[in-house]
Amino acid sequence: MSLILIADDDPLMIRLLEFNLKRAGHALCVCRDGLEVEQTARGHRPDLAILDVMLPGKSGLELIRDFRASESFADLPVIVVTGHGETQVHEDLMAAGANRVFTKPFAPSLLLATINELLPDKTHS
Amino acid sequence: MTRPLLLPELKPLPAETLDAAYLEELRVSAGSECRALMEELLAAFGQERPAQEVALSEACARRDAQALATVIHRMGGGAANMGFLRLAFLCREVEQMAREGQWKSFEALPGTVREEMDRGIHALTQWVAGLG
Repeated sequence: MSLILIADDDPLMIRLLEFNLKRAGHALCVCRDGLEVEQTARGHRPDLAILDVMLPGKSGLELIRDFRASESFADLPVIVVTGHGETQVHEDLMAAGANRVFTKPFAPSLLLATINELLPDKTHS
Repeated sequence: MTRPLLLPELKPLPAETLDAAYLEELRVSAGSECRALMEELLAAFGQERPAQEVALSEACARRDAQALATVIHRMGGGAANMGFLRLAFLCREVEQMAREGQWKSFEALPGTVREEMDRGIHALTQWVAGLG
Protein backbone atom coordinates (compact mmCIF):
# COMPACT_ATOMS: atom_id res chain seq x y z
CA MET A 1 0.00 0.00 0.00
CA SER A 2 1.26 3.47 -0.86
CA LEU A 3 0.38 6.64 0.98
CA ILE A 4 -0.54 9.55 -1.27
CA LEU A 5 -0.81 13.14 -0.07
CA ILE A 6 -3.50 15.16 -1.83
CA ALA A 7 -3.42 18.95 -1.58
CA ASP A 8 -6.56 20.44 -3.12
CA ASP A 9 -9.39 22.68 -1.92
CA ASP A 10 -11.95 21.54 -4.50
CA PRO A 11 -14.32 18.96 -2.97
CA LEU A 12 -15.14 17.54 -6.40
CA MET A 13 -11.49 16.93 -7.21
CA ILE A 14 -10.85 15.46 -3.77
CA ARG A 15 -13.80 13.07 -4.13
CA LEU A 16 -12.72 11.96 -7.60
CA LEU A 17 -9.18 11.35 -6.41
CA GLU A 18 -10.36 9.54 -3.27
CA PHE A 19 -12.64 7.31 -5.31
CA ASN A 20 -10.02 6.30 -7.84
CA LEU A 21 -6.99 6.06 -5.55
CA LYS A 22 -8.70 4.08 -2.80
CA ARG A 23 -10.07 1.62 -5.35
CA ALA A 24 -6.52 1.18 -6.58
CA GLY A 25 -5.43 0.29 -3.06
CA HIS A 26 -3.74 3.51 -2.00
CA ALA A 27 -4.13 5.23 1.35
CA LEU A 28 -4.60 9.00 1.40
CA CYS A 29 -4.01 12.05 3.50
CA VAL A 30 -5.75 15.22 2.36
CA CYS A 31 -4.81 18.88 2.86
CA ARG A 32 -7.23 21.62 1.84
CA ASP A 33 -4.78 24.46 2.48
CA GLY A 34 -1.24 24.82 1.17
CA LEU A 35 -0.02 25.85 4.60
CA GLU A 36 -0.98 22.42 6.00
CA VAL A 37 1.10 20.47 3.51
CA GLU A 38 4.56 20.60 5.03
CA GLN A 39 3.40 19.55 8.48
CA THR A 40 1.22 16.78 7.04
CA ALA A 41 4.07 15.52 4.90
CA ARG A 42 6.43 15.45 7.89
CA GLY A 43 3.85 13.66 10.00
CA HIS A 44 2.78 11.06 7.43
CA ARG A 45 5.82 10.61 5.14
CA PRO A 46 3.82 10.09 1.92
CA ASP A 47 5.18 8.09 -1.00
CA LEU A 48 3.79 10.55 -3.56
CA ALA A 49 2.01 13.91 -3.59
CA ILE A 50 -0.76 15.22 -5.86
CA LEU A 51 -0.95 19.00 -5.70
CA ASP A 52 -3.37 21.54 -7.09
CA VAL A 53 -1.73 24.73 -8.33
CA MET A 54 -4.14 27.33 -6.94
CA LEU A 55 -4.31 26.40 -3.29
CA PRO A 56 -5.18 28.78 -0.47
CA GLY A 57 -2.25 29.63 1.74
CA LYS A 58 0.56 28.40 -0.49
CA SER A 59 0.46 27.55 -4.18
CA GLY A 60 1.36 24.24 -5.72
CA LEU A 61 4.35 25.88 -7.36
CA GLU A 62 5.64 27.10 -3.99
CA LEU A 63 5.08 23.67 -2.46
CA ILE A 64 7.10 21.95 -5.17
CA ARG A 65 9.96 24.38 -4.57
CA ASP A 66 9.73 23.71 -0.82
CA PHE A 67 9.84 19.95 -1.40
CA ARG A 68 12.80 20.13 -3.75
CA ALA A 69 14.72 22.37 -1.32
CA SER A 70 14.04 19.98 1.55
CA GLU A 71 16.35 17.12 2.39
CA SER A 72 13.40 14.95 3.39
CA PHE A 73 11.27 15.45 0.30
CA ALA A 74 13.72 16.34 -2.46
CA ASP A 75 12.94 13.06 -4.23
CA LEU A 76 9.23 12.84 -3.43
CA PRO A 77 7.31 12.13 -6.65
CA VAL A 78 4.95 15.05 -7.29
CA ILE A 79 2.04 15.16 -9.71
CA VAL A 80 0.42 18.54 -10.25
CA VAL A 81 -3.17 19.00 -11.41
CA THR A 82 -4.13 22.32 -12.89
CA GLY A 83 -6.93 24.00 -14.73
CA HIS A 84 -4.35 25.84 -16.81
CA GLY A 85 -3.59 24.24 -20.14
CA GLU A 86 -0.99 26.82 -21.13
CA THR A 87 2.42 25.46 -22.07
CA GLN A 88 4.22 28.10 -20.01
CA VAL A 89 2.41 27.09 -16.81
CA HIS A 90 3.34 23.45 -17.39
CA GLU A 91 6.94 24.37 -18.15
CA ASP A 92 7.19 26.44 -14.97
CA LEU A 93 5.84 23.56 -12.88
CA MET A 94 8.20 21.05 -14.46
CA ALA A 95 11.13 23.41 -14.08
CA ALA A 96 10.30 23.76 -10.38
CA GLY A 97 10.50 19.99 -10.00
CA ALA A 98 7.09 18.48 -10.74
CA ASN A 99 7.32 14.96 -12.11
CA ARG A 100 4.11 15.24 -14.14
CA VAL A 101 1.49 17.89 -14.81
CA PHE A 102 -2.12 17.06 -15.66
CA THR A 103 -4.68 19.50 -16.98
CA LYS A 104 -8.26 19.03 -15.72
CA PRO A 105 -10.10 16.98 -16.69
CA PHE A 106 -7.89 13.92 -16.97
CA ALA A 107 -8.62 10.22 -17.31
CA PRO A 108 -8.40 8.29 -14.04
CA SER A 109 -6.61 5.48 -15.86
CA LEU A 110 -3.87 7.87 -16.96
CA LEU A 111 -3.39 9.17 -13.43
CA LEU A 112 -3.19 5.65 -11.98
CA ALA A 113 -0.70 4.55 -14.64
CA THR A 114 1.46 7.58 -13.88
CA ILE A 115 1.32 6.93 -10.14
CA ASN A 116 2.43 3.34 -10.71
CA GLU A 117 5.25 4.59 -12.87
CA LEU A 118 6.45 7.15 -10.33
CA LEU A 119 6.05 5.19 -7.12
CA PRO A 120 9.11 3.48 -5.82
CA ASP A 121 8.75 -0.26 -5.33
CA LYS A 122 7.88 -0.11 -1.69
CA THR A 123 4.93 -0.30 0.62
CA HIS A 124 4.09 2.24 3.25
CA SER A 125 4.26 1.01 6.80
CA MET B 1 -31.55 25.90 -30.71
CA THR B 2 -28.99 27.60 -28.54
CA ARG B 3 -29.53 31.27 -27.83
CA PRO B 4 -26.49 33.37 -28.79
CA LEU B 5 -24.33 34.47 -25.89
CA LEU B 6 -24.27 38.14 -25.01
CA LEU B 7 -20.55 38.10 -24.39
CA PRO B 8 -18.90 39.62 -27.44
CA GLU B 9 -15.34 38.99 -26.24
CA LEU B 10 -15.77 35.24 -26.30
CA LYS B 11 -14.97 32.73 -28.97
CA PRO B 12 -17.99 30.54 -29.81
CA LEU B 13 -18.57 27.91 -27.16
CA PRO B 14 -18.38 24.23 -28.11
CA ALA B 15 -21.67 22.84 -29.38
CA GLU B 16 -21.49 19.86 -27.03
CA THR B 17 -22.60 20.44 -23.47
CA LEU B 18 -20.75 17.44 -22.07
CA ASP B 19 -17.25 16.07 -22.53
CA ALA B 20 -18.27 12.68 -23.84
CA ALA B 21 -14.75 11.24 -24.00
CA TYR B 22 -13.97 12.18 -20.40
CA LEU B 23 -17.29 10.84 -19.12
CA GLU B 24 -16.69 7.59 -20.95
CA GLU B 25 -13.32 7.32 -19.17
CA LEU B 26 -15.10 7.84 -15.85
CA ARG B 27 -17.75 5.27 -16.76
CA VAL B 28 -15.17 2.66 -17.63
CA SER B 29 -12.95 3.30 -14.62
CA ALA B 30 -15.79 3.45 -12.08
CA GLY B 31 -17.69 0.48 -13.53
CA SER B 32 -20.79 -0.45 -11.58
CA GLU B 33 -20.12 2.36 -9.08
CA CYS B 34 -20.29 5.07 -11.73
CA ARG B 35 -23.92 6.02 -11.17
CA ALA B 36 -23.44 6.44 -7.41
CA LEU B 37 -20.23 8.40 -7.95
CA MET B 38 -21.81 10.78 -10.45
CA GLU B 39 -24.88 11.31 -8.29
CA GLU B 40 -22.56 12.15 -5.41
CA LEU B 41 -20.60 14.59 -7.59
CA LEU B 42 -23.80 16.24 -8.81
CA ALA B 43 -24.91 16.71 -5.21
CA ALA B 44 -21.52 18.13 -4.24
CA PHE B 45 -21.60 20.48 -7.23
CA GLY B 46 -25.05 21.65 -6.14
CA GLN B 47 -23.74 22.39 -2.65
CA GLU B 48 -20.78 24.38 -3.97
CA ARG B 49 -22.78 26.29 -6.54
CA PRO B 50 -24.57 28.95 -4.45
CA ALA B 51 -21.40 30.28 -2.83
CA GLN B 52 -19.62 30.33 -6.18
CA GLU B 53 -22.46 32.20 -7.84
CA VAL B 54 -22.45 34.78 -5.06
CA ALA B 55 -18.67 35.22 -5.38
CA LEU B 56 -19.01 35.58 -9.15
CA SER B 57 -21.82 38.13 -8.87
CA GLU B 58 -19.89 40.15 -6.31
CA ALA B 59 -16.71 40.19 -8.41
CA CYS B 60 -18.71 41.25 -11.47
CA ALA B 61 -20.63 43.93 -9.55
CA ARG B 62 -17.28 45.43 -8.48
CA ARG B 63 -15.86 44.92 -11.99
CA ASP B 64 -12.93 43.32 -10.18
CA ALA B 65 -11.03 41.39 -12.84
CA GLN B 66 -8.62 39.75 -10.39
CA ALA B 67 -11.41 38.46 -8.17
CA LEU B 68 -13.28 37.35 -11.27
CA ALA B 69 -10.24 35.39 -12.48
CA THR B 70 -9.96 33.64 -9.11
CA VAL B 71 -13.60 32.62 -8.83
CA ILE B 72 -13.99 31.66 -12.47
CA HIS B 73 -10.82 29.56 -12.25
CA ARG B 74 -12.35 27.54 -9.44
CA MET B 75 -15.64 27.21 -11.32
CA GLY B 76 -13.78 26.04 -14.40
CA GLY B 77 -11.92 23.34 -12.52
CA GLY B 78 -15.15 22.04 -11.05
CA ALA B 79 -16.87 22.19 -14.43
CA ALA B 80 -14.04 20.25 -16.06
CA ASN B 81 -14.20 17.57 -13.38
CA MET B 82 -17.96 17.26 -13.91
CA GLY B 83 -17.54 16.89 -17.67
CA PHE B 84 -19.25 20.22 -18.39
CA LEU B 85 -17.41 20.96 -21.62
CA ARG B 86 -19.09 24.26 -22.54
CA LEU B 87 -18.96 25.68 -19.04
CA ALA B 88 -15.31 24.70 -18.58
CA PHE B 89 -14.45 26.34 -21.92
CA LEU B 90 -16.36 29.49 -20.97
CA CYS B 91 -14.58 29.68 -17.61
CA ARG B 92 -11.13 29.19 -19.15
CA GLU B 93 -11.73 31.91 -21.72
CA VAL B 94 -13.10 34.38 -19.18
CA GLU B 95 -10.26 33.67 -16.74
CA GLN B 96 -7.63 34.25 -19.40
CA MET B 97 -9.20 37.52 -20.50
CA ALA B 98 -9.74 38.69 -16.93
CA ARG B 99 -6.09 38.07 -16.11
CA GLU B 100 -5.09 40.07 -19.16
CA GLY B 101 -7.46 42.90 -18.23
CA GLN B 102 -9.47 42.30 -21.39
CA TRP B 103 -12.79 41.23 -19.86
CA LYS B 104 -15.57 43.82 -20.19
CA SER B 105 -18.94 42.02 -20.06
CA PHE B 106 -19.22 41.91 -16.29
CA GLU B 107 -22.98 42.51 -16.21
CA ALA B 108 -23.90 39.65 -18.54
CA LEU B 109 -21.51 37.04 -17.17
CA PRO B 110 -23.32 35.76 -14.04
CA GLY B 111 -26.49 35.03 -16.03
CA THR B 112 -24.56 33.26 -18.76
CA VAL B 113 -22.66 31.13 -16.25
CA ARG B 114 -25.94 30.26 -14.51
CA GLU B 115 -27.45 29.15 -17.83
CA GLU B 116 -24.43 27.01 -18.62
CA MET B 117 -24.49 25.43 -15.16
CA ASP B 118 -28.17 24.56 -15.60
CA ARG B 119 -27.47 23.17 -19.05
CA GLY B 120 -24.60 21.04 -17.77
CA ILE B 121 -26.52 19.70 -14.78
CA HIS B 122 -29.50 18.81 -16.95
CA ALA B 123 -27.36 17.02 -19.53
CA LEU B 124 -25.31 15.17 -16.94
CA THR B 125 -28.42 14.10 -15.04
CA GLN B 126 -29.73 12.61 -18.25
CA TRP B 127 -26.39 10.93 -18.90
CA VAL B 128 -26.40 9.40 -15.42
CA ALA B 129 -30.00 8.21 -15.89
CA GLY B 130 -28.85 6.34 -18.97
CA LEU B 131 -26.22 4.36 -17.09
CA GLY B 132 -27.00 0.72 -16.59
